[in-house]
Amino acid sequence: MTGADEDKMPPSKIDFADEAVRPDPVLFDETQAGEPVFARHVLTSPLHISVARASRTNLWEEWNGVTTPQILSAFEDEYRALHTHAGLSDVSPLAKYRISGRDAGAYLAHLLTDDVTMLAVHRHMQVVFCEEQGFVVGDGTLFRLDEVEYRLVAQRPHLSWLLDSAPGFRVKVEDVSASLAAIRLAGPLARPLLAAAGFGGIEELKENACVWCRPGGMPVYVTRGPLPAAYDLWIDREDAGVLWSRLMQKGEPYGVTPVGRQACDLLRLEAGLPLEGHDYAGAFYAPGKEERLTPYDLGWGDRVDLVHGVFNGRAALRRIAGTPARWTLLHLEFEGSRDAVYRRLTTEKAFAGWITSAAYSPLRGRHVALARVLTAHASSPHLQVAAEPRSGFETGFLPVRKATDLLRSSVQASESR
Amino acid sequence: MSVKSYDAIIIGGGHNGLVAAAYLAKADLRVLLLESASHLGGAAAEAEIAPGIYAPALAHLVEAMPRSIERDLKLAKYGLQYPKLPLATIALEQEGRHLHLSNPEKMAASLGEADKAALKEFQREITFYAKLLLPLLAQPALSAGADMRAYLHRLVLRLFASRRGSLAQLLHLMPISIGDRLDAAFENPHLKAALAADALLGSDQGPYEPGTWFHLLYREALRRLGRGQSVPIGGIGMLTSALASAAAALGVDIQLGTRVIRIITRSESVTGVETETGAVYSAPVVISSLDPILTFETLLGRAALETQPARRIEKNLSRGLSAKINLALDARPHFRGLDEQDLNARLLVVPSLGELDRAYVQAKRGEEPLDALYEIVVSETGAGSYILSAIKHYAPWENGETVNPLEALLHMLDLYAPGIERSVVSGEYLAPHAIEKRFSLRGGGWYQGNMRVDQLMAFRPSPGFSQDVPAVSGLYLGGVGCHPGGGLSGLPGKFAAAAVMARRKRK
Repeated sequence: MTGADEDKMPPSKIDFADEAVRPDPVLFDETQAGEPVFARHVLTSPLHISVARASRTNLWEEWNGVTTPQILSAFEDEYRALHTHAGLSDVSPLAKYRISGRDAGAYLAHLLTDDVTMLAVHRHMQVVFCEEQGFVVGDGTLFRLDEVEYRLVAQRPHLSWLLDSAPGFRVKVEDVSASLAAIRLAGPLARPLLAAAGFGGIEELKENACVWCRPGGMPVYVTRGPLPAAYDLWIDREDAGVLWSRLMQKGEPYGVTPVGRQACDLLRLEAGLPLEGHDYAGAFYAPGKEERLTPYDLGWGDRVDLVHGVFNGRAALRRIAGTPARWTLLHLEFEGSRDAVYRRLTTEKAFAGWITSAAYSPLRGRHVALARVLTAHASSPHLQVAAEPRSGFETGFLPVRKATDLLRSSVQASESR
Repeated sequence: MSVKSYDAIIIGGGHNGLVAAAYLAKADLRVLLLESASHLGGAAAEAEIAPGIYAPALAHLVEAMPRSIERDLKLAKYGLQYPKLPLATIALEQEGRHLHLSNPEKMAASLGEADKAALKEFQREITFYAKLLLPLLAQPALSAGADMRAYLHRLVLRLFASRRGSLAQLLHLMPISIGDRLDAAFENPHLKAALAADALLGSDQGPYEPGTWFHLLYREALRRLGRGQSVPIGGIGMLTSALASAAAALGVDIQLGTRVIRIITRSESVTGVETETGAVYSAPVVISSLDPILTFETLLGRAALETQPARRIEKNLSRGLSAKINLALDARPHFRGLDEQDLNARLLVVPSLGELDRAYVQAKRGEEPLDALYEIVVSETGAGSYILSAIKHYAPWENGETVNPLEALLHMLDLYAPGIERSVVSGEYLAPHAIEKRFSLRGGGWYQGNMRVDQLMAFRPSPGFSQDVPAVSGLYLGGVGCHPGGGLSGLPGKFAAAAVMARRKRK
């Protein structure tokens, strides 16, 4: 590339034909004899080039095998943007499945614990799926795109379970994780930003609803929720980079900031949403019997409809439906320092449970956590958390209290303004 | 659309379907039996192979039907009678040095000292363990509950108390192949192959495959459950006609030529069936004597089961390596070295164990084997004509183009019964794929799921499944695919009827 060419290019725009930003072609060469096949294999999201440009920290982590930013600029800035302005993040590594065909509804009703046939087109709902003993295999969001087309989005891949359940139904199950990109825009200014960026009809979009928009002529499926004030934008992988640039450009007056996974995860923790792999393990890979949980243990009893027909786990869930769940998922906050995950919860020295995910919330000035607590102790006023994470060094216990939904109220306040 | 209402509907009019229907009717239920063919009997029916000549369509021996069923359903009154003794077994030999396996004196004369002692020991071993197994076969399959623990407890105690066998010996023998077991004990290759025949017939395994010794044991136990290998007086068809008459007399409504295409369920309970013509029959109970997998996949729809149970039932394997041959003869066949009365025996043609093993591999690969194991039953049809019914064990899925299996059989038979070729009037050969088509037997296997250790008793048809299907209230399985399996025992049907009655009583 000559110097003259470089001058012509506006600095803020990414040219995807640019040699400098293209993936290294060596990655796609034939491997040499004796070289491990994975040596040069790096999975990247369709938005990797755009995201990598925004990275000032070079902190990366893996999510479903895809390289994902942990922090892009500074954690505090990203977190602040999510709460005061708008944060833009790449959620393309989510596992995404297209489920279509004449029996798609019946198939999903058989797979999932809830009656999904009532889901209207262009709406979405939170769903959970179980195996035959009633333990949770995974959870996700189900979108209905059409009469006979659904999209299931989950934190972790579940393709083999989806395919195992398919015989007997006229249904096609496709993994569209790689071909479909996803951008999440969250924060109080997300809606005006989208409106400014050419997303017509965004003002009327209700929670748990979806709409097709055509900003700049690109078809984008916009869905609102389940995180408060968050919009997910589903788009072809070819258009993803262009949309990202467009949102960054149009969003400048709204203070849009690219955010990494750590800030996003805190947002989800503040909203009190359990996450597969953190707050529970799927039944097929849970390391022990104790680690397998039913929907009732996770507080998802409202996602179980025992009368809508045969579905996976129904017989087992029917047996336990009347009895109190062994565990209760608590959304807690407490003061203290250091990493709090896996710390023990007690009530007057009796074991009560432990913390499954936790982080310090600058907004609250406290740790906010999700905890798995024995139902018998869940409503105890004496619930306390171990002050030190390591056993043997326990210096005492800290009191905890139920977390308030600060986030949702702050968002509502800003939106009504 | 017409709706007729019954207490129970039986799908399939084979012997198990008829037994189940008769038992339910006897308990004062209004029972409807639906059969897709124009005649009853299923695999135990008789088929017309030449004008006016009927031969056993598939099964030609009744082995395991307990006398209790004959008594309960008064089958003797409806014409079912047996000769006093079960059929003798004779393993043919080309030079006429046949082995009369059921005749101890003749056997003693044709064996060496070592083999004589070994045979005694081997028969004792099979008898001893078969008797231990017998209680498990005479009742509905025990799952891992208190009854199973009690049985195992008794078994272990009896083995400790006994001088005949031991727990260690049983554990050693359970997985052993019949070939290895016989090679270790006997010298005479002809005797070894003859003894292996019962372990192999009907199975999909070769003589050196693990678990085949147990198959022999299971078969011996099945025989002890019933009369042993017998042909009813008047032919195998008498069993079906007696069962049909008994069922009709008890008030069973039998409809022929009615194919069921769907089992109707409402909120996971059976409400009836729909037939090919669109007629709907309603009943709160349906017993399917069809193959369990066909029942679930084609009649019920897989959506009626959760994913994991559906996948478990799917795993049930049914593969047939046996072909059925029927010949109509216009003269009595003369086997070299056999008396007239020996013709009433079950005749075995057995190559050596090594040749059997090769035949197994060839048939599995789809090739026509050079040698095969034949089980032959000759019967007189009156007017001087005879039926030769044979099971060829180790036959490929379909007929090859180079070898005509019927000609190969005739050529082989001519070595034992010179001149038999000239007396053949007509004949038919059913390869496994033809058996699958004609009798709706999946994979051409005879038992709606092979009778291997992993698919017997509590694992029959699949782990977690038995006659009673708890996932679909009112649906029961009652075919040979259920415990205790083959041998025309009628027990799968009887146990299904018992499960229905037990459920009614609980309500």
